[in-house]
Amino acid sequence: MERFSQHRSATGALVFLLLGPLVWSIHFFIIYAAHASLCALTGGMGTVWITVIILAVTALGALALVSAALGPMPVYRLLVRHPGGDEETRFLIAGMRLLAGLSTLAIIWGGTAVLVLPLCAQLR
Amino acid sequence: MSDDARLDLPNPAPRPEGELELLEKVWATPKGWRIVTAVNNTVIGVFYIGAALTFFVLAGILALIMRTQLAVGDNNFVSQELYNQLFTVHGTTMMFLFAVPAVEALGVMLLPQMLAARDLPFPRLSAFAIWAYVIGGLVFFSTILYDLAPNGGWFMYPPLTLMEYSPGDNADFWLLGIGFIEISAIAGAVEIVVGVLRTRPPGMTLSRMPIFAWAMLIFAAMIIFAFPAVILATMLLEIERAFGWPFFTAEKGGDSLLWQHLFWFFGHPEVYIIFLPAAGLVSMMVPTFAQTPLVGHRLIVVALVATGFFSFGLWVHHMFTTGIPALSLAFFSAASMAVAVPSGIQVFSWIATIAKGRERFRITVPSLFILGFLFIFTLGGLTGVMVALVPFDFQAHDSYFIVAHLHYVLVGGMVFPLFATFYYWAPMVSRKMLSERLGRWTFWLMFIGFNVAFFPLHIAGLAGMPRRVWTYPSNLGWDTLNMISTIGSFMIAAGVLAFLIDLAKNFRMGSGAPENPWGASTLEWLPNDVYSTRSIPHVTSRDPIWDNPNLPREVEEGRHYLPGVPTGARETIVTSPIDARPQYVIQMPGPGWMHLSAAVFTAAFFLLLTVKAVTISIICGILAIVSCLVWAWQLDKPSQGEVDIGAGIALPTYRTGSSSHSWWAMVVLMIVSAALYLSYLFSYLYLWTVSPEVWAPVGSPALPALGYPLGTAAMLVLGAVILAVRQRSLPREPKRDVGTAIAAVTASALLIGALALEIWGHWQTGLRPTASSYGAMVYMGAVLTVQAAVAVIIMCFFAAARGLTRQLTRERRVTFDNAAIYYYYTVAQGLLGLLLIHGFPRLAG
Amino acid sequence: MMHRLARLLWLASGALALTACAGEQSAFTPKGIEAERIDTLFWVMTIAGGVIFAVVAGLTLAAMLGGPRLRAKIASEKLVIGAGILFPVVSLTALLFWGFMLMRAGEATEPSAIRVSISGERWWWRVTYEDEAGRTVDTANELHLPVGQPVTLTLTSPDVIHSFWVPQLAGKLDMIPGRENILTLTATQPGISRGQCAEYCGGAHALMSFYVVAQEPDEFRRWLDAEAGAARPPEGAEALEGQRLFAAHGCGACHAVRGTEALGTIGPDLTHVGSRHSLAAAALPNRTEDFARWIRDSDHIKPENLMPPYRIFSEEELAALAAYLEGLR
Repeated sequence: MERFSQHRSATGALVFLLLGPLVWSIHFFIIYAAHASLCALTGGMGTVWITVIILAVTALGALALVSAALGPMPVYRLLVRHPGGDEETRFLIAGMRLLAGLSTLAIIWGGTAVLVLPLCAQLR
Repeated sequence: MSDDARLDLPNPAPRPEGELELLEKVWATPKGWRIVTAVNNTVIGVFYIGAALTFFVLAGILALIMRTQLAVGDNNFVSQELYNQLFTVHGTTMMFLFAVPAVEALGVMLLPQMLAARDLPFPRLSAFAIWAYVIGGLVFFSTILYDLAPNGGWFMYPPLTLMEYSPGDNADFWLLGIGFIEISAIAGAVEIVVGVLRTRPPGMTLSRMPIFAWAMLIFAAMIIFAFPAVILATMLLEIERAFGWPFFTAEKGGDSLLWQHLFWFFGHPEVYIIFLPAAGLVSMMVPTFAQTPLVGHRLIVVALVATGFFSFGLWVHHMFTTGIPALSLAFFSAASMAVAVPSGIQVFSWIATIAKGRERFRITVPSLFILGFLFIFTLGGLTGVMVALVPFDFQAHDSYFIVAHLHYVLVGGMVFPLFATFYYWAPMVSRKMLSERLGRWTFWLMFIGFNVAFFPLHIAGLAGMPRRVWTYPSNLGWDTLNMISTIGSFMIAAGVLAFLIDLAKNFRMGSGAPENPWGASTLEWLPNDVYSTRSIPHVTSRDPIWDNPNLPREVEEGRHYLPGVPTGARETIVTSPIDARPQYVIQMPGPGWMHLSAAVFTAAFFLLLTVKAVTISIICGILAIVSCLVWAWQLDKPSQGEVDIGAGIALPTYRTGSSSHSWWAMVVLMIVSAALYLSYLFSYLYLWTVSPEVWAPVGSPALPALGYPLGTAAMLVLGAVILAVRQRSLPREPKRDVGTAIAAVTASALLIGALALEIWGHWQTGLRPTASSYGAMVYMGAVLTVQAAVAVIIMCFFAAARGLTRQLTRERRVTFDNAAIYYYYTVAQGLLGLLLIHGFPRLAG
Repeated sequence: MMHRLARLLWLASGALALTACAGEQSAFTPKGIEAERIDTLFWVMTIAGGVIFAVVAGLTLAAMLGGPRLRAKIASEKLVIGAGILFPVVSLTALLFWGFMLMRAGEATEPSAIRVSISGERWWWRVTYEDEAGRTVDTANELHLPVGQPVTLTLTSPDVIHSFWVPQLAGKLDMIPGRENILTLTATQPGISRGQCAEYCGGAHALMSFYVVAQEPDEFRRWLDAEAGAARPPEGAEALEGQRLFAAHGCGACHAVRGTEALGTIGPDLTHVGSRHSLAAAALPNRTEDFARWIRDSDHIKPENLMPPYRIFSEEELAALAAYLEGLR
């Protein structure tokens, strides 16, 4: 009868696994909130800050996720407080990487829209 | 597995005399009419599904009437007024009374069996949820029979649904009627989160968890974050209708788009809430019919999680035509693309799994429904990608193209897997399996009928036919398409009729069906009875029965964990969230009347409020609360020391602190409350961007002096401190605990005082909630914190009562802890509110 | 079996599409710039979607019925990643950015000479033109456009949310109380299109439609000048009697007929109602007898509409009113 594995932080493991979607959520919130409020506050004229903020958080978010996916162990040990090396660790890391990949894609798709479209116009 | 390992089972055989009899006795279902007091998940699960199916049929009948009216142009089969009620009730019933309850019901019925738990962690809570839903749902649906049904569409947009354009109680039936559905959904979410994360069998680590458990966990998490938005929206609309607080009225600084944001922030995740469990079920059935483990298990887990998260970034795609700036729309178009990728991953995983089986994929009624699901859902997903493109949606939105799309994804994505589920899992709860022969009739009629009914509607929509029209001119070329669609809808009805006949002939609750007739690998197919499995298995893989064909016998002989009833009452094992290490044994309640009474009075409270019978409504509300208190009084049984579950593991029977299931339930409730409050925060800031001219200090009376919020804050913090101090000084031994009573009463008084001061502070500046959207928002903040405060104060008094009756000690402290943490939450919410209401206008002005 | 079924369905629907295709309210026959752009996008996505669907169906059948080597190829995580991640990433990126480019193409480059305000009211359309000279012209339930010239529509609503939709010309745009939404329409050929309210607005939402008449620019100018003018005096005894009845029964309190004392703005402007393509927001054709029907039975023709039915008139009186109104060309 196999022994149960060493203690793992449950919250930490979930946060680790969900790193991608969590970063995506924060990114999405920032780009939408910044765009909507700055367009409203400038009476529809827009400001270069919209572009700056969106491109900055997009780059940061993508960078954060790609580095976590490439070098997961330090993040794993920090969040999950567990040395790693077992089946569950492999599952969590694989899951984290895949979610980070999908989330990076979503972040880039959302953020690069600012390069194509004018800031606050309805365009109808 | 080596012989040694197999012999090394937790418990020896043969089991002692009387152990099985006691297990059966403790878990027995009440007989006869007393079955309404039952709480076993299998019994409740069957009632739940039965209720959901009933609403499906009822809403389906409404659809047949609608389709008959639309079969030809310029028709007069039903009147304009009736039709507007029909489509509103059809949509509302299907979404709120059928779809979400159906998948929740499947969770209630299947999850504990898949996790080899004896029941869900809060058995009476799901029983409460289902009775509130059944009573409330039936009353709501009946309004179509006497012209009281809402007629604003299932999405109820203001200003159409404001008093001015929707006088009468019709809209209120929707608003207050949906209220108790929201309660049921959240109750279910609490159960499922705690159930999936804490009551798995020992050894079933996260990576070995069945896909359906993942799907339900994500389902529950989505409910927790999405439902509060619609709860807030319904509160705001009902308050505007009843009291005139102008949240949605443009002339007074409100905005009808606020409703749309709140509603769709809920509404989009809602459809994935409906779809994900169905996808999870498909992932359980396909491997069985292919007789091979799921290909891409990790990919599917990832796909479900990604879908759950991304679905929260789509909501504005229901608002593409409202004139929001194009760049904003682009964000939501991008996210709508992103959410398509995980669905594709799942489809190809299933196809790969089908290909992997050594033999050909077995064709049975359930697998036919799965193939039908693949066909229909793929088509629906492709039209979904089409409408995710903003320019195309400019044409398709609010036309029959969308009607076609939504039915393809919802019927394909949920109803077909649901029917597969009925045929597949019936032997788990019914004495006889359903009929293969009748089942094929059901499938083909439904499949062909569905495509005949809905495919032409794509064309009709782009040919110019808008939604929600009771008739159309017969010279626009839509007649043939509509006639074909109507014929298809009656074919679907014939299929459903065949199913109902099959049910009537073959479905009989009870055990006796063949054991594991499909040759599946997961734990719900172990030998089962009222007590779930005889013993809770130690799990070492994702496909336990395939990897250990002896497992069913081992479990039935009681060789695994907890084969008996050491505490003499209903129990199950609580394990750790990731690694499923056994932690303690929960003592769970059995059948009772109080949750039933609470459900009846809760439903009565909402429904009587709808017809403005305020006094009786309040009385029912009080009786509901009293029932809940009596119910809760029966919980929190004292510790019975440690019990032996097998393999030399002795577990406590009472748990205190942050790893208790009760604490986890409170955390979930706090997240729900926080999501509700954050929706309010969004609404406040949103209305400010729309109507800064009505905000203080410019357009409204100036804010109260800083003394007011500081006084409120001080009282809140003081109350929290008092409880925190008391938390550290609970009595060591059971005694008449006056100290806790004093702490509870003082903290409650401080809370009341704090809120009274806040409300009075605004009132004395002359600000009125009916004056402008700003006034309405200020007082709404207080309303939400008062709401939380009422719950907290009841909990504090409850804890005080426990203390006074010698049932509160340093060890046995769950009732006090729950009240205390919710109090801290309320204080935090209150402080945030003060910062917003007193700080923001000063900053922005 | 499924494959055959799928093919049958596509063929059948193709045939059906042809019957619905040519309607005056159909997005399949675009006659405006925005609608043409969207039409191209639609066909590309539909064909691509059809191909993808066929591939998925084919793969499923192969997985079920194929030989062992074929099935082994399909049974891999590589397929899942290739078909489920890589292919969508590439194709959806391209599609998404095409969508962005199409959105960008809606950027109005030149300010339009003609501006029209359209207010969606329960359940009709208040249309007000404003030309370069600042002259405003009130009309209702019909929109005229010069072919080839962009026209800016300002869309509003004083009551509930409506939506302005002329599928042949452009996508829809909502009319939201408290907001002004701007839609620029450019017709590409002369002709008549039909539009309909596309946001459920309660009651007679299904009967809230209108016609759009695209005309050559000089013809449009002539029309606008005529529309701006006062009402034609009634010709003939019957029409004169109709005018008398119109004034006597207070119709002018709700309806304006410019050049007379009727100045009401609660209901549609009737100054040139006789020349419109339809009556009652496209609920009725425009024939003399339809005026009579509407006055007497408006609550049956368009239930819940806000004009009370007038059953007090005799047959002759209704005929007179109809003759008068028909003469207001």
